[in-house]
Amino acid sequence: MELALELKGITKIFGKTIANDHVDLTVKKGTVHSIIGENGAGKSTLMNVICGLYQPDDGELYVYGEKKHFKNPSEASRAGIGMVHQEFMLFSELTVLDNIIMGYEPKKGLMLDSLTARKNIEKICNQYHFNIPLDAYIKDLPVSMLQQIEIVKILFRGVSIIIFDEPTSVLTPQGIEGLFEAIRTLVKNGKTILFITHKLKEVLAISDEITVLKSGKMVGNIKPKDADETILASLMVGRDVLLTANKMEKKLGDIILDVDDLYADDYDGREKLKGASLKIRKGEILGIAGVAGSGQQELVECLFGLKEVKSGKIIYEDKDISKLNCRGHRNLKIGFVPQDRMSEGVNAEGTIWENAIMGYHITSEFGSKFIINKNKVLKFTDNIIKEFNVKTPSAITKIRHLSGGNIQKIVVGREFSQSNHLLIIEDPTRGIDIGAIEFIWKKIEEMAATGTAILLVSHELNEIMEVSDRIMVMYDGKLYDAGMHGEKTESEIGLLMAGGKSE
Amino acid sequence: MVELFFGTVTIAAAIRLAVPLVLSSVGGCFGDRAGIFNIALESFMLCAAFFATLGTYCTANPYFGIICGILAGLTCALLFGIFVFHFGSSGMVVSIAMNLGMDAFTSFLLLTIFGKRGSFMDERLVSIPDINIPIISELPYIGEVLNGQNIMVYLTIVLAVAAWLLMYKMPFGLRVRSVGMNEKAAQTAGINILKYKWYSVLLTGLFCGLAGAILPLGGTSIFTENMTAGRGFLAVAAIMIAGGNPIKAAIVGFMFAYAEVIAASMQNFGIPSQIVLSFPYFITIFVLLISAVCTKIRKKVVKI
Repeated sequence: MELALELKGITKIFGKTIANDHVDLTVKKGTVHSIIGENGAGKSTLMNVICGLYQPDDGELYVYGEKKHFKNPSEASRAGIGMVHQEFMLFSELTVLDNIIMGYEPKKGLMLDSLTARKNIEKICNQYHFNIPLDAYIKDLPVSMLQQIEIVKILFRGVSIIIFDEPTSVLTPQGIEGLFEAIRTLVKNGKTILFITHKLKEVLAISDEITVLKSGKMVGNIKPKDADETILASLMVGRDVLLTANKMEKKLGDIILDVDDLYADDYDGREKLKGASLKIRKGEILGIAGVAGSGQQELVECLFGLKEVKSGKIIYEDKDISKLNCRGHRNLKIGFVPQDRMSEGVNAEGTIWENAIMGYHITSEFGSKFIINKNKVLKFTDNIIKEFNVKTPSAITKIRHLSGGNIQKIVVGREFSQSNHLLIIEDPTRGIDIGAIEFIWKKIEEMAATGTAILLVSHELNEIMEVSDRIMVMYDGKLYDAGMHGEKTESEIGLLMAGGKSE
Repeated sequence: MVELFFGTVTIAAAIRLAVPLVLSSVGGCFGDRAGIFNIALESFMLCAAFFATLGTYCTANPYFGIICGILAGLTCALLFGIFVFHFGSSGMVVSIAMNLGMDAFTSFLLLTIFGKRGSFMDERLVSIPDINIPIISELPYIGEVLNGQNIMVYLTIVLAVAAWLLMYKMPFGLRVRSVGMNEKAAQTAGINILKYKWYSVLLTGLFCGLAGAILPLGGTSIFTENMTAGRGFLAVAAIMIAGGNPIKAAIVGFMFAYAEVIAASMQNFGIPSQIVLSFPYFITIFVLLISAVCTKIRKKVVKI
């Protein structure tokens, strides 16, 4: 079988870190080849080398048997390699058409030739069964549509090797099925797919061949029929991992938080919460699933006093807290792990100890009202570092020098160490590796066992299903019951996320 | 009253006065859309005005002066670009330094080259001649307004339309806008970000050079210290109001000039000069208000 892509000894070094250490890879034409690995294993670096964003420090790259040396993405694209990035590379203020032709504009004289562009794009859409509105603006379209636009964009450039970087993290289970359908159509038409992910179930479902990366090195090459999730996980992490939360038997207490008929707008003035209601008991883990942008963010912001509540009640321990600010919430022992750890969770320029007490620097036992007792703080920080197994040289290291997983451990450690009564946790395992996910899940379980109520909002359906005691689904600003732990299947909940009614 | 607001004399004067404002606003749109923070248009224009004066004085040819002005504008843009793109300086800091520095620099050159303080006049400093276009001159109203203007007036109209075409109908403009909107996405589309930023800042320099050259050569035949008198900042305001659309920026630039003319003629009606002098700025605030209301209404429509 013809080889689409061959890498020989690719090495890429950033400063002191070796991101790719002599990686060899052969990808056969017309197959789906998955590359898996933990965060920081070097997957993204490798892909960026292939698609020309980075130049390798050593090693050779062959495309269809021809040796290549890409200086920039357009050279890679001319050689037939395109990438669908994890964060969409789209311009929200431009139309779909402009986005697709960007950088590869057909011309008539000096002018843009939109007519030819439109015809070519429609041809591609027909061939691969995509249905996208060419004159709509990107900002008005849903996420699953954006991904299709990304794919059409790549095809418009005439590429034959397509790299998908974590394409499923933004999709519902049904959206994922749609993507897989598209990938199968692409392969049938002779395209070659490189699929990057850390979700093992998907890898096994779609791949023809799987390559495992670990700390920059290739550690395994395996066919899906010879593998299962456990084998892949242990290859990735280097030890056996149980990707199931260890649910414990526990007794639930009284209702601690009662949200009734909540309405709120987003920052553009669009109504995002349309009468959301929920109740949590002490010691309960309530998981909220939903497609991104269904109102989860607004719900969390309302619950933590970051956003004005238009109408509705938030009763916490028999008090209405809907008018309270963040400080008020913290004083009432409510903790918050925000989704975006870099912009909301930590101060990246600050040291670890500063971040470890951030938000609790006055209320807690870190000295008097005016002076911080640094000895106490450092002792406290060292405890978090030890207990949460944070990999760092010291407590005075700057946060931005840590990896995503370790930063998340600091944030979680901070919020979990303050004997809070209610924890609002948003996407706690976003972009962190399996080992750290396992650890954070365990910590959430332990916190709940001590009687803390936990509201878990996550875009990873798998996480909601594993960790929660009770599951609710957010759709179009309202919350719907989705049963207890293990009561509904993934596709049933997926249907609810897409607005389907439960029986 | 109608004569004051819509008389041919008023409009013709406004058009003449608008040329430097419109040119700098149109050129500045490219820098703005490419995401470059540049409020140094004032200094680009002032530098161009001085070197246009110098060039004309040396050759007694205003067209040579205009070329000198354009080169001066481009040199300023080059300086700005080197600091901002290659040394990583903040656009704000470089702009402030250039604006303050250019005022002093041109005054210094005025003194050392021409031995003058304040202003400089000379018979060799000739303006661009006015031209008569037979077809236009026969049209009622338009003939009186447009005919007998200097060639730069016509060139400005052509350039504004050309800039709009460049921005919205050619690949170049699409790429410039992409760089300003989302650099990373532009990069993955194979667009050389630095290249397009350079093109944009140089285009700004070119237009500002032309705009600055008009100041001494557009009929007054005089160079004065700080001749731009805030026109560069008005241009920045026009660009922001127009959202970087060259045609809209040109219209807003014209509105500013129009307000200035109205203010000047109002003095004849016995209105206190302080109020008259603040009139252009009231117009600025008024235009800003209108554009803010318009965007709000447009957003509401999208919502439904």
